[in-house]
Amino acid sequence: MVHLTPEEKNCITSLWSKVAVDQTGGEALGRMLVVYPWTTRFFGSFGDLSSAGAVMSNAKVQAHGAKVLTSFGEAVKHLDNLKGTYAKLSELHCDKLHVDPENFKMLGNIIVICLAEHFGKEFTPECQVAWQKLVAGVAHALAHKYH
Amino acid sequence: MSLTKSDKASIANIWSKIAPQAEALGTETLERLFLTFPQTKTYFPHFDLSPGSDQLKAHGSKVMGAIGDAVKHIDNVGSALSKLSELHAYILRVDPVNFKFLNHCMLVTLAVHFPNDLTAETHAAWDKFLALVTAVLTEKYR
Repeated sequence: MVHLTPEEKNCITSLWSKVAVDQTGGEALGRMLVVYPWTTRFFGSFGDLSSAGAVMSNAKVQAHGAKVLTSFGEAVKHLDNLKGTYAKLSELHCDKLHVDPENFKMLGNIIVICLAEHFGKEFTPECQVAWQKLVAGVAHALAHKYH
Repeated sequence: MSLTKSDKASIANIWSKIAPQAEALGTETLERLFLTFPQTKTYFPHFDLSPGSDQLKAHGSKVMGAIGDAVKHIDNVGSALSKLSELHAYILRVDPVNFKFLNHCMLVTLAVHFPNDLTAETHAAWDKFLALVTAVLTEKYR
């Protein structure tokens, strides 16, 4: 369970209401594949991921990024029960997708950087704290069912 | 993981934007670090870490200054930061995991202030560069 103060919850929900989920999701996933190219290992079927330009304009990357960040919306709605919210997805990432949970932390941090880029000064240090707690909570929940 | 020509160009380009505001950006990086990863404060029991403190500004300036030295000597960061490397290994002994936290907070700070300059390529280049600086600073740990 993520322990958020009322101010932190407010930071999360108010910022989330202004996020262009599809665009930001695509941006975040794309950046992860560019900044940490070894993460492309999970996306063999996505086509051309050979350069930054190719990755950022890849339609499958955009679509999948949108899907991932949309699921974050569930986290924002259920801040008090991240483990329950992500139980099925956790099993999927372990049993079917075989994703090292380290990757969840990496993507979480990239999402934070994307938010900082979009919101500028509005993404205060206090806001960053709230979002770091959330991405860490989601990463932890996604790893929770690993065995 | 070494820096390509393209990486070096990206790094030099964004450094030219960072340099005029180095102290402010270094200070904000530290402020974000101490707030987001409070365990990092354990290395500064002797500091006043309240926002805007003179010590925080001085240290932010110092950190950015070292980054600037690394940028200026990008083909030989090991030599440029040799003294700092010894300092971190023998005196400061900051656990290596903390460099990643600092690097992340610096990226967040740059994203806040230079949204148009921190393209995916520049983000990657700067992340690689900070990883290189980290490797140099922890090189003599054991």
